[in-house]
Amino acid sequence: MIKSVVGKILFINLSDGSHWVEEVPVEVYQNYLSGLGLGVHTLYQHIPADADPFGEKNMLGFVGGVLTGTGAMFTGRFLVVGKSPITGGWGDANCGGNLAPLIKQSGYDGIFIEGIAKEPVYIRVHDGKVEILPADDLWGKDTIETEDTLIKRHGNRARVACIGPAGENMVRFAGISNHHGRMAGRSGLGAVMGSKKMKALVLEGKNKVAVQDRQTIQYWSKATSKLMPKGKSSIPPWVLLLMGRIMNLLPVNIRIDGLMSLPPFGEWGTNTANEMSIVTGDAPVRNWRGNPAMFPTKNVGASRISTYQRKKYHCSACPLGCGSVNEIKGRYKETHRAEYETVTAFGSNLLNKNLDSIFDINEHCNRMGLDSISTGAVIAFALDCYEQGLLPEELTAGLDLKWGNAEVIAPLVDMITHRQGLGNLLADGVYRAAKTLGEEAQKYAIHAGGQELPMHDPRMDPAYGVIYLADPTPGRHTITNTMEYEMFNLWTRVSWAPKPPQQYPKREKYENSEENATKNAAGAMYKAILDCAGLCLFGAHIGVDRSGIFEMLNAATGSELSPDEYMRIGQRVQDLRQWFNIRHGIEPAEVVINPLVSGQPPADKGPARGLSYDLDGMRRKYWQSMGWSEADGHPLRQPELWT
Amino acid sequence: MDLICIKLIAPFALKNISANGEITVPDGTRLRKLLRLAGVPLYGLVMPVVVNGKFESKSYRLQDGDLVVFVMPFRGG
Repeated sequence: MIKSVVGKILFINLSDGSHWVEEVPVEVYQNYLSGLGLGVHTLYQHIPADADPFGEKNMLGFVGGVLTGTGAMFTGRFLVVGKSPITGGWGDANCGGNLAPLIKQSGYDGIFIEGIAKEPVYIRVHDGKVEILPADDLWGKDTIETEDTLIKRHGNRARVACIGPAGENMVRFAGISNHHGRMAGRSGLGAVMGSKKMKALVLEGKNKVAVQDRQTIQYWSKATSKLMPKGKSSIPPWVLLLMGRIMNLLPVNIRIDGLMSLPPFGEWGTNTANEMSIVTGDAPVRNWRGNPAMFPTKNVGASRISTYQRKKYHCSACPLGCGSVNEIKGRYKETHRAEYETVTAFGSNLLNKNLDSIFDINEHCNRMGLDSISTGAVIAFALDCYEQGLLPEELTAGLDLKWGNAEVIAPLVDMITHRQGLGNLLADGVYRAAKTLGEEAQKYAIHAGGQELPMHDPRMDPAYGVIYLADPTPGRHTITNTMEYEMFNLWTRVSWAPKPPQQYPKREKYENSEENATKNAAGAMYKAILDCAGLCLFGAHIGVDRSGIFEMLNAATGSELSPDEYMRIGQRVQDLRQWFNIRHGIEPAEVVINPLVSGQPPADKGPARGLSYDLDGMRRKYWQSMGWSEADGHPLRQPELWT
Repeated sequence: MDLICIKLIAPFALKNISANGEITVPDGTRLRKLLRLAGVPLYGLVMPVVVNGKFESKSYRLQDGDLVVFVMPFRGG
């Protein structure tokens, strides 16, 4: 058996109340590590091809990483996995907060739930023991009330993952919350949890994580901590904005070292990007069909957002601490600082300049248990359809669905949560809503494979377009892109990873080249390794040579694998995610994306003006680089499975 | 004269730098002079700089083993 894993997974059937434990063959860890790899290896074999995402046969899994709990830095992430009700295929959602270490500490590498309970329940796992307990008193409560109630009931050492009313009502983009609103948001897995009538998972335990070579882990953790920013940033955010504007004007792409962006990121988190992303065209404006001139950036600037900050905080095992708790006005007193994605989804993409409303909606989404990316996106879709006269009158009565109207956005979030009126249509996502409204509405449905797109415009970086379209969970921004690939420094460890020049013409990003495809494939394989290890993507920005990820994986497990061999594991995990989709009837070549994001038709204003690229060709070359058929996207290697 | 070794991470090409980004300068060298010695272009001189993760003024006196990094905006979420 390899070290740093428990070697066991727990299965719970909510239909009959049974549970059982299975030993995991060592080959599974050797070939898939743990975390995402363990999740996809388990679900590929346990979810039948015809399983309804909301049916008894779908399975929901909570998995921790190989490095989680070993003392390695940036390992506070866990994943929720299952068949997604928004894409109909492989679903996973990655999340920080305080839950991750408790998965292994409670006695298992993964906890997998199938069946449907007759009445609302929650599951308590403590030191390996399992209880299925009634949750009638919790059903209907928001995520924070639920977490507080369960912590009070089971003690301060307990950690809670739970759904809000959106998950209960099976809103197809509902998420799963922990740590007072940190959301495993994507893929709609909160709706799967709701379909099982499972309100929460409570974890307790003190199971120790054994490692092979603690000294090496400590060495790299110390080295990583030394690189973290110290003290407050003395850079006014306008300087970064100015630099962004200048970079936009340059004909060259500058390779950014992750250490360069760390100081502002440590202070403002993802909000560092708010203003710059608008002016550079990365952030969508007005449901992706607007331009930066329509939205004054100061409304959402980091300096303005900082005035709300009450305290900063760190996720488990994180030396950076990009999160903060902010004081807000209105129905709630505080919220996690809204991430860039949320600020943009409810800001520029809706032309909403009211920052108070964005924070209020952020907290409301967290409490209702909603993915704020998809929620903002479906509202943008609704405003566009309203303007075009595509919404039936009976659904819009009394609603002033004008761009930027904060007064109507907040109630819409509630209507979606409770599936009322127009909210019921939107609660199924833009793809399904557009199908109901008719062909013309498809133009305004910005999605890939059914999942609403995140807030990064691929017309400014086609790598996003390729990944949105070709990842087995379409519409995902946290796999890789040009900037992140360059931050990963993979070429310092991986023999075949291309090293980009320090500066190169921007037009090269738009070329359907083998090098671009190889970079995207390498980034995707590496991201799979991060998700198997339980690592944070932002931590990986410091570069693989400085974080010592491959060295720590060997030290934790006792393996002696080379970086190239770890990349093969990442590839194997991606292969199986792709096979999962194919098995469940999703042909990779039939996954579609709104053509607007590849510049079809080209924008006539703003930074994206006239930009387009051969997305289908780039997708096919990416498939090739992943070791998949260029013709149909099927992996050339058959699934490697152990039972 | 004692020499100290400084590591520089910059978004542009530098002079007098080893393959792993290090430059050797006399002990007592200040940040301002280091940037000149390393051939930092004019626009680089106005860019914010951190030393060992901490914002320092250009008059900061460098220590052996310091890591000097130019700050760049981040795009992501």
